[in-house]
Formats: sequence, structure tokens, C-alpha cells
Amino acid sequence: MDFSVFRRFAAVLAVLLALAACASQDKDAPISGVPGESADVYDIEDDDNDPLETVNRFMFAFDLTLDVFILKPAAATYRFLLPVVVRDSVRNVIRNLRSPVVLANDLFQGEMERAETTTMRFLINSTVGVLGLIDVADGWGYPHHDEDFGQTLAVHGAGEGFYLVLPIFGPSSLRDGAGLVVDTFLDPLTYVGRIYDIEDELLVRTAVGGIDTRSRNIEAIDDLQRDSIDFYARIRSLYRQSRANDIRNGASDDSQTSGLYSSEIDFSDDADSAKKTTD
Amino acid sequence: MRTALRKQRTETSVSRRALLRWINGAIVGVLALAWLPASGRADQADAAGAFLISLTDRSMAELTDESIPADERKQRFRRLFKDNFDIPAIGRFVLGRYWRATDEVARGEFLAVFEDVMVDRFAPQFTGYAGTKFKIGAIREVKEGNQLMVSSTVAPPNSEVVQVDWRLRSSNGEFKVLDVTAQGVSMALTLRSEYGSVLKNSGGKIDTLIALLRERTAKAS
Repeated sequence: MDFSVFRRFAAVLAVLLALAACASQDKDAPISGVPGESADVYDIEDDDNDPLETVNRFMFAFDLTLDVFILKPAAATYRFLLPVVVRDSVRNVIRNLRSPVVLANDLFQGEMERAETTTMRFLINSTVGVLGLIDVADGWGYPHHDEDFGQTLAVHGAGEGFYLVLPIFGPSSLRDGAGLVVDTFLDPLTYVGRIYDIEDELLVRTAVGGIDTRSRNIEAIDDLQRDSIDFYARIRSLYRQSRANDIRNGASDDSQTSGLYSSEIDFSDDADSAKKTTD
Repeated sequence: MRTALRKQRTETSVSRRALLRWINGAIVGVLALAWLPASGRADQADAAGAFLISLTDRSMAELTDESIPADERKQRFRRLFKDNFDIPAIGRFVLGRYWRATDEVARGEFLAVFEDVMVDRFAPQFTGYAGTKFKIGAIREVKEGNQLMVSSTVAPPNSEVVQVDWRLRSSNGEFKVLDVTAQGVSMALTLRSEYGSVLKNSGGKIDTLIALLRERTAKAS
């Protein structure tokens, strides 16, 4: 059995963990540039928590190039050639195959109800749903949700470390990047692939999943790019906010109780002085 | 010595009486707080809900008509936007710490081009949203009653339901929208982060930002 893949992953994980040891713990992305809860918005040091910004911007440009020349055309073709039903089936199968990872992370986060939903989804969709092709479970009261080890780390108090743009995968963070690697170890299919010598099974699954996902947001991303004056910064902000939303599992952000992510917005109450400048 | 002791006792009983009086007063005060403003709070929450329903109804009525020309839609959107959103407060928040360093003229220019950018960005979005259903959910007060957070769900005709939260400013019974958050992503925070990055990379020059935004609106029209 060839363990070189694991050795490579282990090496990447080791590097990321070493970096994490250097970066301060519990350092959260000041999502808006406001670190923690700041009463006076105007006195803060603008901190994007992006110490690798130059490198990140370069990687971002690289990813965009990959997207323009490979991923987006592939996604557009995929969408053009295959009917919705087929594309949805592809997504359903990929989601189903990811169930063990989602379940593990549900359990690590102590989310028993969600763990139950994940289990039921896997059982129902694999059988009644014909190996995951049809998402029957959704109609039976078990909606889909995703989880990953990055979210698990966050729930247990880990800050994002710092913003990190990964090759191919795009916007991420130190914590979430490490989480990606751990999820690979958590995934039983990785091991099955090795035993039965199915080469690059993970690669194929990731690629197909990536194309399918990309095909579902082509116009949205185009709009975003057209609208941005700094696309890199826009994506960074969107990534952090939607990440925070995922970690909260979509619950409303009660900044008073949630110490992890404070998006307490402080709109100045002397907006009257601002009003005088308009019209 | 006896006089000293007696003095001590009367002092103690005086302070104890004062303490009891204070406690009584506090209990009455707390009860009063619990009873009275509750009705006021409920009224404000209702009014906020009504404001939002009215705004979304008007938006649907005026903006989703596919037959009107794009310019007309932009005009209508601009009117609704100016009337119902606190643009100066939003603009000020979006500039963050750079607002203070900006002079009056530049502030005015920024707010004007910011409004144009918002109109160009959002007015066209309404086509294809006819028949969208809004449902108001929980409403809670923040910032000692000066602001309210309203949760809602938006169900477009051919799309998934989206969770949208609104931050409203309340002053003298009038409401203005400060921020819209969809699926956890806040419009104000996103723009603030992006413009902040542009300003940081251009050494804090607001003119660079204004020029970039003007370029954006020129492209859109």
C-alpha cells in the first residue's frame, strides 16, 4: 500500500500547525476591521488580519486565472450539456459521500440533532435514494447541512489565525486550511480508495464537486466581480462573514453572548452632521 | 462610653432604615420598569414591522415591473432608497476611520457617488422578483432602543428561501434602514471592508476611492 499521499498530507498539516503555533491563538478575523467590540469605531487600528496580504493577492490572481481558463469554462459547459436533474444527482451523490465527514464534525461539535439528521440522510438516500442519486431525505424532514473540521475548531474556540488564499481552493484561513487536511484523514473513502487502488479518487471527487458548485454561481460571481472595486477584499470579507454564519449554523448573531465573532455594528448617532453635507 | 454606644446604635438603625427605604424604592422602580415601557417596546416593534412591510410592498409594486425602462426603475429605486435608508449614516460607517479625515466637500462627493453606486448595483436586481413573499419574524431592540434588528425570510418565486435581517434606526417614530444582512453577510460590513482596503492601499486618499467609484458608475450606465 502506498502511503505517500498520507505522508504528503501529514507534512502539510505539520506545517500549518507550526504556523498556527506562531500565530496568536483566539485571534479572530475582525470581520469589519473592528477588533472585538469597539465602542468608538473611529479610534481603532484597521486590522484586516491579513499579514500575508501580498502573497494572498498573488495567489488570488493565480486562482482567478485558473478560474477564467479552466474552471469556469468547465462549469459553463457542464451546465450547458447536462440537464438539471442530472446535475442535481451529481451534487446529491457527492454530498452523500461526504456524510461521514459531516457526521464526525457534528459529533465533535456536540450537535446531536444535526448528527442524527446527517445519519438519517445517509441511510435514507443511500437506500431509497439509490446510492445517493436522489435526495429523498430532504422531503422527509432531514435537510442538508455541511460541516468541516475548520468549523469544529472554531466552535472549540480557535480563531481563524489569519486569512489565507489557497491554491485552487481559494479563500480560506490558517484554521480552515488545516481543517481541510484533517477532513481528508476523517474521510473513510480516502482509505477505501487506497485499498482498492482507485487512483486519485479524492481528486476526481473534488474536481467534479468543484465544477458542479462553480456551475451554480456563475452569474453571481460575475456580478460580484463587476461590482467590486477591490475584488480580493470583497471576497475576503464575504468569506469571513459567511464562514461566521456557517459556524453559528445560521443562528442570529447575538453579539452580547457570542465572544467569538462580534459583528456589532456601530453607526454613529450624530449622523445629523453627515446629513448636512448631502443635497 | 454609653453615649458612644448609643450613638453607634442610632447611626446603625438610621442607615438600616435608609437601606430598607432604598431597597423598597428599587423594588418599586424595577416593577415600574417591567410594567410600563413593555407596552412602548411592543408598539415600537410593531411599528418597525409595519415600516418594513410597507417598504417591501412598495418595492415589489414599483420595481419588479418588467415593462418599465431601466432608467425609470433606477429613478424609482433611488427615491425609495433615499426615503427609507439612512444614506449619510451608512456612508459614514462604510468609510470608517477615514470619515474623520475627510473634509465636508469630499464627504458630500463621496455620499453622492456612493448613492449612485448603490442605485446602479441594486435597481436592476429587482427584475424577475415579482411575486416574492416576505415574512417578518423576530424583532429585537438593540442600542437602548435606538436601533432594531428585524429578522425576515424572503421567498423569491423560483429560488430558495433566504434569511434577511434588517437593522433599523428609530428616531421619533420614524424608521430608516441602516443595514441589510442576507445569510449572515452584511452589506455595510462588506462595503466597509472593501473600501477600507482600497483606502489603505492608496494611503487614505478619499479621492482615489471616489474616482474608482465614479469609474464604476460610468461603466454601469
